[in-house]
Amino acid sequence: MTTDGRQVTARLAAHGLGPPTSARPVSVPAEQWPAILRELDHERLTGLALAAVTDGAFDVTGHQAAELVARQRAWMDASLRREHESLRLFRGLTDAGLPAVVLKGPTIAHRYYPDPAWRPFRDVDILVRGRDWARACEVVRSLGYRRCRPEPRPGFDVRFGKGALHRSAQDIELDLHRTLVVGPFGLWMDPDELFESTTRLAVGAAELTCLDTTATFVHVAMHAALGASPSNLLVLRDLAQVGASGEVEWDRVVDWTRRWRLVAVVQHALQLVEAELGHVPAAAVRAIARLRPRTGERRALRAHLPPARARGGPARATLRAIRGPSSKAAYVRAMATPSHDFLVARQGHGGLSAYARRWGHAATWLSPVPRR
Amino acid sequence: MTVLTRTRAHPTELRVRHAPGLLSRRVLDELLVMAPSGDVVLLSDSAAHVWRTLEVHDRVIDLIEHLSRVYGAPTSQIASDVTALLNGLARHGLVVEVSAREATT
Repeated sequence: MTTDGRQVTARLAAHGLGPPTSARPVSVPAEQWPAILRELDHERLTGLALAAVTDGAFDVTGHQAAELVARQRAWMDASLRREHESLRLFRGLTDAGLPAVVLKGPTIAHRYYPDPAWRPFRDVDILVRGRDWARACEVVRSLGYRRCRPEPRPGFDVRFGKGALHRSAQDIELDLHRTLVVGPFGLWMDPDELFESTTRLAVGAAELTCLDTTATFVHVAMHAALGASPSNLLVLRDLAQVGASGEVEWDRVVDWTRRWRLVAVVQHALQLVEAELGHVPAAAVRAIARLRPRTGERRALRAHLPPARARGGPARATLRAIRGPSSKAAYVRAMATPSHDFLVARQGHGGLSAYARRWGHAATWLSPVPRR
Repeated sequence: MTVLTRTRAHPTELRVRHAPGLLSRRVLDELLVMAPSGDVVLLSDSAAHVWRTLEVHDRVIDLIEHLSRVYGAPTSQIASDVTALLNGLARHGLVVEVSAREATT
């Protein structure tokens, strides 16, 4: 993707957020179209791009429009199936007496966008309480989902993990969470508090529980700052969209970001939104900009960003965040010598050679970072 | 009509509404609707127009007359297209007949 290409997708990702940054509609030369379409598809921006076409902000040829519509149809098909699964899984968990909170996808699409078609999603995310973890895994298994990879060592999920990825026979992925993100920021926060910050959302004939707007803002900020690099433009759009909803309680955001050591994370997320989309919610900036992140937070955030991210940064930051020598030792043991089943699921084979490969990879983290 | 005629009423005398609780998404003027079977059904722009009009006109005869005016086509032609479409939607479980009791309330 060229810089120009990223500018095009970023402009489309910002469509409708505020006054257009240019009076001229976006247009794409024929030779660049395949790459732009691929990027719009990859970033799940086809809905926003079509909205821009309808509003006259994206000038496309008939051929380009037809291809865009075809991709958006495919995304809407996928989103409907995942929405249906969100409802089915939510009902299954709550019928089993397990409180569950549906995250991201359908809840953001329905609550914060003018049209849910603007916000496709590719998986299902559900948060359960850590104390319910084992039972929740059993329930989703009974509903046709199998876990993609076992935990590295027994008890790892509940002590150190974010959750576990599951997949159905129809190839729908369920990210079952016990906290919001992997690593130190997931450990520093108190996910149980999130269960006190929920609301109900009607979807079709059913209702589900989702995070309230304030908790959604914090979650999306974490996802934007700590997720893929470069950041997914749709996630940045989510943050701008939720932040501009007028429903965020900024005092609560400030309280959580201080207590959960998220100041650097939320500030970084807002900087990304401003840099990529050019529209950042003013209220968010007013609330967050004056806060000063602690040294440990800044260091943990750096560990999630390139180049440290690809060199074991998150694992080392997690180790630093774990309290007590016995817990640290358990984490190192799980990372260095995970179970045979875990290695087979991750690398395709187990045994000593799999361990050697794992340790060899970890050893590369120790070599100097190449200068840019 | 084949699916929507469990009653003795003439098809155009029927009242029809969307099945409750359906999930759907718009793609420009088209509509994707998830059927109770789990299939996702794509409604073309004209089918989606009929779908949206059903929210206002649940009596099939009213629906046909409305569409006849909008499209400037004879009611006989519209009736044939609409009943075929409604039958297709009913087969997928996307529309249901309004019972006599519902219709009077």
